[in-house]
Amino acid sequence: MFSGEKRTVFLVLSIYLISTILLVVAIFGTYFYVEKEKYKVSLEKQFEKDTIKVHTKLEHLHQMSFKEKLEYPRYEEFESAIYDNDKNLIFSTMKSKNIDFMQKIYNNGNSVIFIHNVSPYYLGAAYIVIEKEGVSFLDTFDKRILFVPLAILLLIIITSYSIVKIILKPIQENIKALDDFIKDTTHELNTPIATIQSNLELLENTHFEPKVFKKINRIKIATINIKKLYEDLVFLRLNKAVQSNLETVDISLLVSERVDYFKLLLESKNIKIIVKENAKPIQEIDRSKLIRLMDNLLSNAIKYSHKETTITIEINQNNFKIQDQGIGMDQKDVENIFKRYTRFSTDTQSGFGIGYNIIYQIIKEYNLDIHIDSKKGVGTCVEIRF
Amino acid sequence: MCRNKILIFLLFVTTSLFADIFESNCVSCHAYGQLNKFYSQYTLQYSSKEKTLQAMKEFLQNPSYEKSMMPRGFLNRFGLKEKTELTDDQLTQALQIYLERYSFSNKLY
Repeated sequence: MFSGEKRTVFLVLSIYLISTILLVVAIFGTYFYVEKEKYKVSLEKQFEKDTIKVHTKLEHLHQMSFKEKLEYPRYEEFESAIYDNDKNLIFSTMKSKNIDFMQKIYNNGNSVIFIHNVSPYYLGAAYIVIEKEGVSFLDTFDKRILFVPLAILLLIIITSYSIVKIILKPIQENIKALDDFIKDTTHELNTPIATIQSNLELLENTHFEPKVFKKINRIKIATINIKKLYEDLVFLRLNKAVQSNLETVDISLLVSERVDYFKLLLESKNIKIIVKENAKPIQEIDRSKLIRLMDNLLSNAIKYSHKETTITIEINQNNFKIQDQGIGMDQKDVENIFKRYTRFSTDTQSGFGIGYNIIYQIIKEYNLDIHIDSKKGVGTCVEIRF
Repeated sequence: MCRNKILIFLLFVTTSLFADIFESNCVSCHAYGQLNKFYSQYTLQYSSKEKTLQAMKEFLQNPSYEKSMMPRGFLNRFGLKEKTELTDDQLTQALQIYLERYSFSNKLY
């Protein structure tokens, strides 16, 4: 599995299926249409025969029209009606009352209606209308044939799923190999980093002359940076089987912890840090991930700040902000950050490192909101909303 | 004998009094069979009541040998019908009653 795999499978399957369905529908649609037209023609022929039957009888009746009563011709197979050439009804045995004379043959509910012009106008009839039940195309259509397109569709669903899986397999294997590599490397990095840090701690209590002390400080700072990179790498492992442990986290407490962690870096640049605690928010979140988020935001602020400037951290009930007085960026660049990381990109463009990638992943996972306000030469303010 | 004559006279008067415009102007001369025949011929050619009425009216207001439905032999013997004396409205009314009464719709069952 790689991130976005499900999405890819879904998209490919959808496109493939939709296009295939369209094709199948088009083919069978054409078939149905042709069959329907054929049926219509044969039905019309039959109706015309019926019309002639009625018309012949009308002729007889017309010749006997001096009689008081005239018996209208009735047939078992159909009902009929006669209309004059102004479309007034003369006589009807049909169920349907309103006839659409614009059409020649059409469905009317359960029955099919057929209209035929006749002449001469025996008994005044200019139109003979025939009505028959149960002969519409759908009535006579053998619906079992629909099994064929359905079977085809089912077959296509199965094969397309297999194809997609086959295509994705080498990608998955490559990703796993890469993932394993990163896992092994970071694991091996752990030991030397731990060694350096522990020994630095041992040196804590020893007194050094200022020159040596400065050098040791620089080593400590560099170690902090390495450790941070290492932790970022571990987080970014492409294997998404990273578990999420939800804990109750006190945000302001966490902020002060991380500020403390970066103390040496702040001091090295003489950067003042102000924390405004307007509230004491609590969040249910994976602590280590939130640390990653904050560390990246903080280290960015420090990295891009000038010497002797101030970083202000504001903590509110629904958000926290980190404001620096650093080099800032154009609004266009801000938009670029988001454009790049809205897709599944692990592309590390120069200038932003892997920092914003991590930030963005965590934000996405916990449905947080990020807002960046930046002005070149003035500074940047990053706001994270819960 | 006198009573019978009186009765017949009264019958005649009452029928005349209660006769509608169609009866008083058309039935008086044309027999049932003739009226039936006219209706049958006109309907065969014109189909609807409106068109039949129009055709009949045109003929009666302006009879001519071309418009007549009667065979030539008949016309030679008996001559062409005279022009009607009724007004346009009266003629229309009479024809409407005529067509309604002789309508095939009434006869069909």
